[in-house]
Amino acid sequence: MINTGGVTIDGRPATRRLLGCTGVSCHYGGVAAVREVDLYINQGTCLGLIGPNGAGKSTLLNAIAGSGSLSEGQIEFDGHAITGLPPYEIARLGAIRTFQSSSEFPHLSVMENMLAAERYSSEKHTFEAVFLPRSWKGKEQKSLRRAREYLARFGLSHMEDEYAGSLSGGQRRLLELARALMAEPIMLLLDEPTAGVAGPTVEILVTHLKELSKEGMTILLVEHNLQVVEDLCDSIAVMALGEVIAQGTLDEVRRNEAVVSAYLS
Amino acid sequence: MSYLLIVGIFVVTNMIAALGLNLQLGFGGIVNLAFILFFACGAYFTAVFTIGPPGSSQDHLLAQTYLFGARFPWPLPLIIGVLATIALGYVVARLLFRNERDDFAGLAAVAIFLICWNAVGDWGGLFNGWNGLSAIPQLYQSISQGGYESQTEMAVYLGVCAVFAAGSYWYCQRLILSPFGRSLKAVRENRAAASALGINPNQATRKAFIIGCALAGLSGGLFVQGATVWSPSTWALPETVALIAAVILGGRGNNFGSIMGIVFFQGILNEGAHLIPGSAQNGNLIAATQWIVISLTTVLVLWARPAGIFPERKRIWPKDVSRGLAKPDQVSGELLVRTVDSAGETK
Repeated sequence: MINTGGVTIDGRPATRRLLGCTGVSCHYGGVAAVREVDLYINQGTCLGLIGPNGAGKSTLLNAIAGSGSLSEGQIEFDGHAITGLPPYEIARLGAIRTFQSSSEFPHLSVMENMLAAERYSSEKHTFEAVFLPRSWKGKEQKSLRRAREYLARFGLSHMEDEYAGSLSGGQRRLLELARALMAEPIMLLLDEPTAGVAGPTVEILVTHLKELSKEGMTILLVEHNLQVVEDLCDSIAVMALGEVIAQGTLDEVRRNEAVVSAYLS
Repeated sequence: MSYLLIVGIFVVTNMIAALGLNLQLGFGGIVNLAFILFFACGAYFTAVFTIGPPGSSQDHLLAQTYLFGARFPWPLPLIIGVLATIALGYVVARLLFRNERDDFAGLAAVAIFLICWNAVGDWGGLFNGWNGLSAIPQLYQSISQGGYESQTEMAVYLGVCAVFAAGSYWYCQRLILSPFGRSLKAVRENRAAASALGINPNQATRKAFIIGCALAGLSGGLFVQGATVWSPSTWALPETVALIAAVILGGRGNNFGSIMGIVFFQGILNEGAHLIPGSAQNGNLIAATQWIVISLTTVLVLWARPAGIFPERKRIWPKDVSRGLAKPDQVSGELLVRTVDSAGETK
């Protein structure tokens, strides 16, 4: 179990468990991509998940987010059993993920990308959509304001009307993060958010993620860049060959012989 | 003049079908190669509830056999046609969207079309088999038992079709500018990412599919009361290709573009083929020319202007809604993050 330390939200100790994976295994044919992993994350903490390629990090993240199937085990999020739920239901509970390769909607404007994440979008019936526009237009105006605040925060205000596909790689990553926040997450599941991003933009991304973490956002971060992990995470879990081989702070896992042998050597 | 009015009825009714197809293909990214099946469903059901029972006076000479058979007052047959199409669309949608693979849905749609097309053709008792239905009363006949007595009545029917087309355009525009439309486009762009934001991709796709089918059924129902005949030869698989070509030419994801694609293909290219010298003596020449021109135009458009003549428009919101808000550099940066209090209540 991960010790999240004394992180607080609004002055209260954040000791409540938000995500719990118990005995999670994922098999593809005869290959065990993830084997009996136990992983727990408390509210308001940031857990880094590191390991060599093929260790099962993204498979585990996919299983948590609902886009990969479990062979065994249970996953709980915010008091709900989410094992086997489809991704959109898990997202509606507040676990919002990002992807290894940027996943913007390229032929929609930046603002449309933001509003697509608004929680009422998927809940609106087509009848109301057409014949009762007043039922959603007020919410849309509020969402516009929220979206503009996030775009300003992430330095994308000037790109609001541009196609998302025309943004640079770094801007797409920032948009993906801003869009994830529009979905009102309780927890972010970030799959290599700095992959393919140039150095200066990595720093900007890390700064934003640090701010999010300070503001109480719970984060599960899959990342290869150890500097980013060190900057952001309260604790770290190291995976190799589908198993969690060590947990603790970065210093602790650096001293762990199994980790050195499997990953850091 | 009468010829132009008939062409006008066909063009306007096909506009409604193009709007339905554009909702599926343009906004939803659904490649429905069975689209014409839903047009045909609306046409058949409207026809059999307009034509009267089998063996009724006018049909007796033609010895047509078909199920149902009634002479309901307009617009009841049209409503039944649309409802039947919605039911068929629902069943097909359940079959098609069980799998997230687009190629599965595309191939399954073709298979469903072929099953239905051959079943309707070979089962003579359903809709009179390969001979199809004929002597389907036009709108004024179904009301007055008379038939078009003047060009004015044809013009009125054209006007009725135009009202339905305008209504369909309004409906599609409202739908696509709503949050549902945004969700649908998000699913089209990246299904996994849309799902990860809380959008149910299958539900959005199914809804778009069924609404598109309903518009196809409406279009078919209106069309058949202008054409007065309907048989499997009029809704063969290439008819879907022609509609897809029109939508691609006009502009996928643009309702106005889809309508213009129909005007161009059906109004100009199709009817223009009749002007070819010698076409009056050789009906095959017209059909062959039409298909060559449609296919060639589609290939050229996809090569030179894949977004179509009227590409999908980017939606831009007015900036004045942010009046009264802090300027970007003054934004506090406070996050609207949902938090969980110590009692476990999500805020």
